[in-house]
Amino acid sequence: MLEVANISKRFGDVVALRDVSFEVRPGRIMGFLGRNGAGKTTTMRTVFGLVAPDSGSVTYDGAVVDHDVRLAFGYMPEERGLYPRMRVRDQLVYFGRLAGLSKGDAGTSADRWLDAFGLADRSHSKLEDLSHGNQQRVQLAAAIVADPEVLVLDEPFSGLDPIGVESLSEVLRGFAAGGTAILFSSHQLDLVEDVCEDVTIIDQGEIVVQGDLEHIRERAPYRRVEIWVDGRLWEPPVADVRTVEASGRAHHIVAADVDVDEMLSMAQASGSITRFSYEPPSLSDIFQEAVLR
Amino acid sequence: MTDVAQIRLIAQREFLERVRSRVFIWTMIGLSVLVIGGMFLAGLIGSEAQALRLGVAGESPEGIVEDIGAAALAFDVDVVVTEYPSVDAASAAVESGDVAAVLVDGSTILSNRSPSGDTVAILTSAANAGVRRDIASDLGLSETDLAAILVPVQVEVVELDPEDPEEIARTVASFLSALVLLTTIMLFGQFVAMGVVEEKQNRVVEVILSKARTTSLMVGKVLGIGALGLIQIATLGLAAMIGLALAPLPDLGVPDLTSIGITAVLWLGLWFILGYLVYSFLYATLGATLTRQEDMQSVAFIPALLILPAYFLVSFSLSSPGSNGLVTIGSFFPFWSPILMPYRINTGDAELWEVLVSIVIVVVTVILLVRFGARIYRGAALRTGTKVSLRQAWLAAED
Repeated sequence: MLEVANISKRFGDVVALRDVSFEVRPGRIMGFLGRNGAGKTTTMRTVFGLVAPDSGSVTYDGAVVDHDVRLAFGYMPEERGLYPRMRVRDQLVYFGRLAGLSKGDAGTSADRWLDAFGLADRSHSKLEDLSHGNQQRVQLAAAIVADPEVLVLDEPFSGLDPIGVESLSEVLRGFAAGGTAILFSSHQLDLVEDVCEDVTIIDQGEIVVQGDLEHIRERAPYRRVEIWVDGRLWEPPVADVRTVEASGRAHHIVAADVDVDEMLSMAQASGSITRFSYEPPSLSDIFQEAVLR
Repeated sequence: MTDVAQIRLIAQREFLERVRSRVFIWTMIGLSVLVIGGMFLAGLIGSEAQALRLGVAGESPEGIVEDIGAAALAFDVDVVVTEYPSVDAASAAVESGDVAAVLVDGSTILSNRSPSGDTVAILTSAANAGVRRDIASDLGLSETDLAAILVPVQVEVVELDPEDPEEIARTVASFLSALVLLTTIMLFGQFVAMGVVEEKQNRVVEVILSKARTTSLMVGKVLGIGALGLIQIATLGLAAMIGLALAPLPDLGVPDLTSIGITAVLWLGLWFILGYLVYSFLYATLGATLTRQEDMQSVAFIPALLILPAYFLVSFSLSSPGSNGLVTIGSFFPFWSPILMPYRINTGDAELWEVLVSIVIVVVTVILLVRFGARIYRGAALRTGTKVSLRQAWLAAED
């Protein structure tokens, strides 16, 4: 289990992280959410010793994460980068060996992933000769070539087409099924909802929401309501109602203790109901509640 | 995976990726061809320039051209003699270098600088020959007697403090070695800086530093590129030896450089390694503060300024062999000793203990530079945007 405990970091006068704590368990996929500049990348860099926190610790199975422990970690930074003029397969073998694989094992693993990503015929091409999407696949392969126990991916879905998104999701699920602890950040909330079991939301350097996604949704003190009366969205006349608009379609957020029957009767009283939904908030609702309020 | 294994892997990558590149292979072939070809060319030009070119002008004694030829024959020198219609034409020919010297009116030698001993001897005895022939005919001497009189006496020169050809060879070789060391250290140091900036520019550095220590990355890079430098020097050295052995080099008075010996070559190799280590870690550190290759100029001058005094000291010492005090002191300064100490070894001026002390100083400097550089590297590696100052980078990376 990867455990980030009470990490704080200042850059000059700017507080980048304040008492950040979370854990990523083996076989689980954790989505790491937050607005730009919230502290996601800085947090991930502390896991790899690229940023030294002012206080707090990062441990793996109880041991402080140092250079040797990190060899079992895979990392895909937000700023993508490999050697442009190095051959694709050589590159993967190099990163595999850097993580401690033998030359033979690194070669086998490199071939396996090149095959899985449909790049077997580009093994001996220089990286710079590949398309942007294929370079992205090689970057992912470089992070997973040594079969990591912990996988940290910073915005892995950005810039991928729908097919790329699906194949990356599958790779992540596969690694989780094999017992890898996965932490990834993303802005695409529907994707995170789809792939992750756990989420952590960070805002201005502080963790604001954290835990099992289903659990968070169930326990949220508000509900997502969408009631249409006479073909129009109808706003429930209850306290603290909020209108949320997502991809051109609006719905309302009401407190979880609002009496649903009563709300339904009020709606019926004002016309004929053409649509009705009442459910726990989506991840997007939770994110907005946590970050924008 | 141990640090040593990682360093080896990183060095291997740096080495192989460069050796495999077409640019490198063609550069090596091109340079070797240039070295060997240049020696052949020098041989061809040199053999044509063998003959001593002399001229005559003004009211020369009768038969002067033949007399010059006869005198030259006696001194065992090939000459080509040109007759000029006027003194002005002769002066112009001397000034333009067409001829080494011109005998005017049988009594004056025109030359740009102090003429060689052979030139003076040949022209003087030829001038004397005309005058003596007149006197001889006045006295009624026979042709045979005259010929016997006209044979110039060859005076043997005994040098009390002769120039030792081996010593000249050593001095020339020392200077050439210093030059080779200077240029290769700078060249491969710059390669290191470029490699560092490249990794930062294309951001691969973050992936690597998530796996390897900064020190390992730096040391691996420096060693890999250094191995490349050694191979390049060895190849060029080999090309030079092939050229020396095969090219029809005339005896131009150039000392035999092969007499320097294998020990000196090994010393040279050792000092290349030491000098390269000092400067490449400096270059790596400076390179880490940059974010783009284009900014290279803004730091590349620092090591160049640092090494330049060593070059000047060698040059001065070459022209005035007496003033060795500065060279001696400088040979213990770690940034100069890789140039000055091998120079002193080659000229036979350095004691063994001095060499050992300066090696220790250099090694300690390298260790300090690695530690300093690694911290700067760590502080600056993930900075993007503008150039980072050394101070900012130092403060950004707390241990």
